[in-house]
Amino acid sequence: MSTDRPDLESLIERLRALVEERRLRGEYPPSLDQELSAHFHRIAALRSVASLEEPRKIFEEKLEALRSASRTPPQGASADSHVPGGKLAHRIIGRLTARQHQAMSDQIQELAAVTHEVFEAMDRSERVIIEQIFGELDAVIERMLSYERAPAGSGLAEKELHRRVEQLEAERARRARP
Amino acid sequence: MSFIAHQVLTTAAPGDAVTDSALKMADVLREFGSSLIFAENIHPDLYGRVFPLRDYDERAGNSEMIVWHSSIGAPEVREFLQLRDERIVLVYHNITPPHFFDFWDTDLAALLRMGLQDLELLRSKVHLSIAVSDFNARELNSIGYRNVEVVPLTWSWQRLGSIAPHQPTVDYLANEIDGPVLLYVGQVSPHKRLDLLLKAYHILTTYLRDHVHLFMIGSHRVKSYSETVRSFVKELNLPFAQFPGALSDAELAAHFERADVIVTMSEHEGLCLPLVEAMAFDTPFLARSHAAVPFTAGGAGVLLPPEEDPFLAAEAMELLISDADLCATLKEKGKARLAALDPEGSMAKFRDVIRKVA
Repeated sequence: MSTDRPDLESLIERLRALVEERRLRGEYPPSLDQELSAHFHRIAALRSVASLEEPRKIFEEKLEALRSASRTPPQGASADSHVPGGKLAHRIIGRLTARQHQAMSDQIQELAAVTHEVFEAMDRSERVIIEQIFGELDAVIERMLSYERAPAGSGLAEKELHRRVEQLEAERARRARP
Repeated sequence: MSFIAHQVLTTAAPGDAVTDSALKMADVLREFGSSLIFAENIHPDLYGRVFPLRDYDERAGNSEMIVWHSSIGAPEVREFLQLRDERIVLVYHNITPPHFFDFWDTDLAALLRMGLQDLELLRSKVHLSIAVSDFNARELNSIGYRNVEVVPLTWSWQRLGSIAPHQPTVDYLANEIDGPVLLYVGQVSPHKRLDLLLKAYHILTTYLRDHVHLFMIGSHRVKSYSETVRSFVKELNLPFAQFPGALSDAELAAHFERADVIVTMSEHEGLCLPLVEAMAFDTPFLARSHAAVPFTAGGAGVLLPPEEDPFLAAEAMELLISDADLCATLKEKGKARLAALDPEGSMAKFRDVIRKVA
């Protein structure tokens, strides 16, 4: 078995040389490996957001329940009673306190409606923030790739970085002006 | 010599390598006396062949030995073993390093960490250990296990070679799939590095040869990773790369028969049985020199160096597809390696180990 190994090792060396030749001839794009890796990692990052699907589904179900509660008309309490005469007593008390109950019920419904609106607004802003974060992450990955692709020692990457820093500082100065 | 020896595992499921080993080992253990298999989790298909661990005392009789197949962590199994007086023989199939799963599945990563902790906690209880490869033996040595025997558990390749391939699959592969076929067999899991395999395949089909099929056969246990590699295939526009899922033995045999090259870019293998199956089907294979792969390959396939180089992998794929002389040489080497991994030899060695403990 050990005598066969050098053959396979020289085979690997031949393949390495072949890869190098193709690279020199320009048949293999120089940054393809890095680009493929970045591509895979980008998908993986998005998948981790997709793993939020289940908690999001629960959140949306609860939000829907809250919305329904805020729209459902209030129902009076049952007047039933096990005590003789209790039903009549419950009806009388119910009529006497009906206005107060209605007012409290209206307030609770109003609170549910406002709470629902607040959660909806939070949900909308969360979606916007996530989209922004991913947009910015994509931009960062793109920038990193462009630096990795730049020929070593060319100074191009540094010049580009300098230009972008100046641009950002100018923007900040503009915003800071009264 | 007569004695009772039972086996204990965490999970028993059909098609699972650990369960298959336990079922095969039970045949050997029954040569010495009564032997049952107990598990904490049992797939319904195995009811009657595998018994719940909670029933051990009721069914075990005067057992003298427990063969424990370690895997992911299970406090119930660990606590059970800690309280036993029988001699314990550990069978170490390997535990995938948890770091591979930290990003993809934190629950699984935690279970794997627990499995490694269990190995350490039970070390003093284990009388002798069986490692399925010398790589596994080294891993056990590194955590303080001393009495370790290497017994390659390679018997399932015979099962695959001895069954008739599924005829509709044979017909489909013969009539509908034209051009070379690369076959990956294994879980769709982060440590198997399907991302690297797909990068190499992309390079192969974009720059070297445009019409090559890639079948990636195996279960999808890590959902997030599985979805990511599927999206990767879609976004790279690789229409001839397919994930048929976990197949029956007969369907798998049909794919092995049709394949031109068996490929894997895996970074962690306790044995890597598909390479042995490749040898059994006279099919050349390409793998990376990680973990137990060099031991199993035994010089009978093309092994890439450990570092990641999809270009080198693509060139190696192209070479194995096109170089008939090289493939013929590798097939011959495969036959010799297969003889060394003879399942009967493994059975005999396992029998010897059990005798030694008894």
